[in-house]
Order: sequence, then structure tokens, then C-alpha cells
Amino acid sequence: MRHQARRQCWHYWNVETQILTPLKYSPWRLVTSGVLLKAIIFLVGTVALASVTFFLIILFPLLPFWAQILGQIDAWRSRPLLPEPLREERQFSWNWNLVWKNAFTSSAWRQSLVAVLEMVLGLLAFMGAMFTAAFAVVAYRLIVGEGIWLTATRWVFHSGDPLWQRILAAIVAIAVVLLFIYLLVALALIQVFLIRGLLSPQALEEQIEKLSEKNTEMVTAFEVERQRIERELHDGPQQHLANAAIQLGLARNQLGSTPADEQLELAQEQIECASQALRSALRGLRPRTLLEDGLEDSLKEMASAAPIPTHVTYELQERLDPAVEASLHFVVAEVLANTYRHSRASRVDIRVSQQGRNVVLRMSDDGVGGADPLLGTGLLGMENRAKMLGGSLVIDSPMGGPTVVELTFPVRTPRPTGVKRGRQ
Amino acid sequence: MKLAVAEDDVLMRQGIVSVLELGGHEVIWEVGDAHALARSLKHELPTMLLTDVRMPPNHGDDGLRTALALRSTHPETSILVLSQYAGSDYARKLLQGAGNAQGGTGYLLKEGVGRVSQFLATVDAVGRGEVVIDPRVIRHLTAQDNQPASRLTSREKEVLSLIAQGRTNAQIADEIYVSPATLERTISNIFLTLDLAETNGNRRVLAVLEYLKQAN
Repeated sequence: MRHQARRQCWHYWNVETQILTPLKYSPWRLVTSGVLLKAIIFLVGTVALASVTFFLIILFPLLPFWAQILGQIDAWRSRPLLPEPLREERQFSWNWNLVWKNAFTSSAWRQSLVAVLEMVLGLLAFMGAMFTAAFAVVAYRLIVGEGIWLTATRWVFHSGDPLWQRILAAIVAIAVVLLFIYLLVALALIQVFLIRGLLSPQALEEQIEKLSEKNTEMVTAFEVERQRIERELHDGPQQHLANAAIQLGLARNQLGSTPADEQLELAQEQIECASQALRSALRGLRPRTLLEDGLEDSLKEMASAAPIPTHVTYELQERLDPAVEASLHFVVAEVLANTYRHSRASRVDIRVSQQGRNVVLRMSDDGVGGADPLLGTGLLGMENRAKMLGGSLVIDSPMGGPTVVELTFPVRTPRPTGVKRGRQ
Repeated sequence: MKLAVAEDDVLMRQGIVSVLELGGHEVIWEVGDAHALARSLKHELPTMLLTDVRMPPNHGDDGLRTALALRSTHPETSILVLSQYAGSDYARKLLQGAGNAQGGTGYLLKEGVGRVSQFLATVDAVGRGEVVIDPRVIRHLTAQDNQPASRLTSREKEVLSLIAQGRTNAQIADEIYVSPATLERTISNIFLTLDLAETNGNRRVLAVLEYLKQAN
């Protein structure tokens, strides 16, 4: 019996792509999801604001001031069409001193650019709306027949035309109306895209920054705490144990070979074991290789300890931000744990490479596949990490295998304030 | 041998000094912090310095750094580091440049001092200019052995690891149940494999360093 391979593919895109996703909706969904209504309201606003801009552009020096107000309005009115709220760059105030000062900053010029672009888009939207309306009228008349619109459309069709021609024309007209509706939605979304991009260009970067900072803080706090515990144990219990071992050794030396020496030897051995146990407990807490030697070495170390032959290809020349490295380290650890447990693979390949401005972490195995991100908490954690990196995660694991996990995210250069390497 | 001890814990320091005196060594001075260590080194130079890694006032790796500085200015002085840390970082730092120094180099875990006769043997080995690393630390150094690129056989590696622990030929032969002659052959094979056959200087030390380098 042939096994039907079920493809399972999950994509997690960043915000930029999410803005444009309504364009993939069916006409029905476009209406029911409310996107169409929101887009229409948005475009009406655009046309209205564009006409104000059109008059103000004649008084060009006033543009930066108008642009500031417009920026605020745009941020406010694009909100319903954004997957997440726009972070306003600066709160607008009616303090004219401030407005005067802001008029000479780069953000005012970006806002002016938005205003001018909006004028162009407003014009397009207006024309688009007119065309849509015209074709809608034609379609209406062709379907309903003679009516109040007769006069308006007489120049297109004559009542004497054959029926089939009118049906064909009606279908074409409806298709054109739909096309125009999509174009108008696209126009609205592109404008939202531009507003987000130009009025808040660092939005994405800041989001990554913020989350990555959290990540760094976590790693740093963890490392600081671990070092504190290690120091305390080395200076406290372990020092006492070592002292006990030395004194016991000295005592045994003085006593020479007595019948009790066997017990003393045993005691000394036990003390040494206790000391060793403390050390290994501490070692388990420490991603030392990751922190000091970097991701490449930590991945290779992980691979060398793996129960399945695991091959690491690391192609990045420079080190990544410590928090990003930590994220990738834990993603790889999580994926490997799943692979070893469920995949029955005989080989795992890990590849970290750079493609343009993106870093790609690709893990593939030759196992049985069928990994479901909805089943394990671990895979959901990976999704979160991918989002934190501002990237996307694709898990492709059809029944029967193989499994490929690919994490793609934009490169960031390490910040100077990385994980502090505490001295011990 | 004229020895000096730097260790902040008083009981530990007394213990170390007692063991050293049991071995008939003269302890010319003992200090409890990094400043006093630096001062004493200027005042009188020992044949061998036994030092802790972390010491007051900074509780950083002052002891180790002072020892490394001492080796660069006085390469004839032997250094034996006593530490609580089995991790390979300190040992690796210490081993860099150990091959060029005339004096010996050692890295032991503190509880090892309690094994009095073994510890004294280690002190002697380091005094002879050898490199001695605590077996538990060697495990760490070799734990990251990703590619067993080294061309040594497992028996040769075993012997080399024992040499790295400061054992004499007689002790090793005893331990792995071979005749001294067989062991001699094994060891000269090691030297051949590591291209140390024609080398002047302490081949045992160089072989150990080569081994540890490959292990990393």
C-alpha cells in the first residue's frame, strides 16, 4: 500500500510580510474579515488627506509641518490594517516650538516623503475607485437590464445587442471590478507598508533588539548567577573538603600502616568523590564553550557528544551577537533532542550559512519524519526564538521523512555590550 | 628544593607546607594574597612556586597570572598550580609556553595534596622540569577531542596520558603490565610519531604538550 505522504509545512513570517497577506484572501474572506471595509475607509482618508497635501505643496515650506501632523494621523489610521500596533516615533504635540524644531530633523523629511507619496497614491486610489465604480455600474446594468443607469451607460451598450454578448460583458465587468477591488486593497496595504517602513523604520530592528536584549540579559544573569554559585561552592564546601583530604592524608602519613588505614583510605576517597561530584554538577550548568569559544565550537561539541553521527558545517566568518548565538545553540539543542528521540535517523546535518543579509540555520536528518510543532512544547519554544530573532522558521517533516528544519533571520553585528566574561 | 607557597586559606596553606616539609623540602616563604606574593617574589626567588589560582584581594586569577609573569621573567623557576577548578581553561593558559620554559609546570587539584606520597612525587617531577597535569583535568582537556586526528594508537595514548600525569617509566610499566623494554619501545614510537625523535630538550614534556595540543 502506498503511503500518502502528508506534507507539513509551517511558516512564520515577520511583520512586513504579514501586512500584505490579505492579498492572498478569497474575495469572500476579504469582505468577511473586514479588510475590504478597513481598506476603503483608509483610502477615503488617503484621498481626503492627499487633497490637503496638494494645496499645501504649493506652499512648499509648510510641508514639513503638515507632514508631522499627517504622520500622526497616518500612524493612527493605519492601525486597523497592521498586524500589530505601530510604534509612533514621536508623540506629536501642539507646542509650536517643538514643531518648529522637529521640522528640521530627518524624521520630518521622512514624514514629508510619506505625505508626497500619499498624494500620488491618493490620486491612484481616486482613479481606481472611479474605474471600479464605472465598471460596477456597467455590470449592474448588464445584469439588471434597462433601468435608471440606462443613460449613463448608453455609450457602452445598446439594448439591441445579443444576449450572449451581454452575459459575456457582464462576466468581464465583474472580473474587472474584482481586480480593481484587489488593486485598491493592495494600494491601501502598500501605503500601510510604506507608513510603517518610513515612519517607523527601526520598528523591526527595535523589536529584535528588545527581545534579544531580554535574551542577552537572561544569558548574562544566568552566567553571573552560575559563576556566583561556582565561586561559593569552590570557596566554601570544596575548600573544606580539600582541607579534610589534606589533613586526613597527613594523619595517615603520621599513623603509618595501622589496621584503621583501610577505613581512612576509604574516607579520603569519599572526600575526593564528593569534590568531584560538586565539580561535575557545576559543569552541567555551564555552556562555557558557547560563551567563550562561540557557536561553532559549541555546536561541534554538541555534535561530538551526539548518539547519532552529527555533522556541523559552519560557514560564518564572524561571531554573532552573544544572545543570538545562545538562541541558535538552544534551538539546535532542542531540535537534536527531538531528532535523537523520535526520528530514528542515522545521520544529522547542521549547517549555518549566510545568504545575503540573512543567516540560515538548516538542520536535516534522514529519519522517519512526521514532526509536529503542535505536539511538543519544545518546537513551540523554537518558534518563539525564531520570532525573537525577527526571522522565520520552517519545519518540513512529511510522514516517512526526511525532516528539515530551517531558521532564517537577518544578520546583526554583535553589540559591544555583550555577555560579560566574568573572571573567576 | 627551595619552595614558596601562595594560598589564602590558612588551614590549606598549613596543610600544604606540612606535606612539603614531610618530603624534606624547605619552604622559604608562604603568603596569603596576590600583593604579598608579588612582593615576596621580588625579595627572594624560590626554585618552585606553588600557588592557588584565585586569591585576594581581587579574587580573580591573580595567582595564575603572577605565576605566568614569573615564568616569562624567570623561565628556570618551576610552577605548580593548585586549584579547585578541573575545567580546562586555567590549565590551558598555564600550558601555553610550558614547553619553552626550563622549569617544570604542574596543575593539580587541591584535594590531591592529601595523597601525600603521590603529591611529593609530583613536586619532584615538576622540579625536574616535567609537565604534570592532574588526570581529572586531563580528562577535561581531552573531552573536546572531536577529531581523533592524532596518529597515536590507543595504547600509545594511554602511555602518553600516564606520562602527562608525571609517572616514571617504571611506574607506567607496572601499571599497564608490560616489561620496561616494551614500554621503552612504545615511548620511542610515540616520539617518532610526534616527530620528536631528533628534538633536543625534554622529549617527555614536548610529547605531553603535543598530546594536549592535539586533544584540543
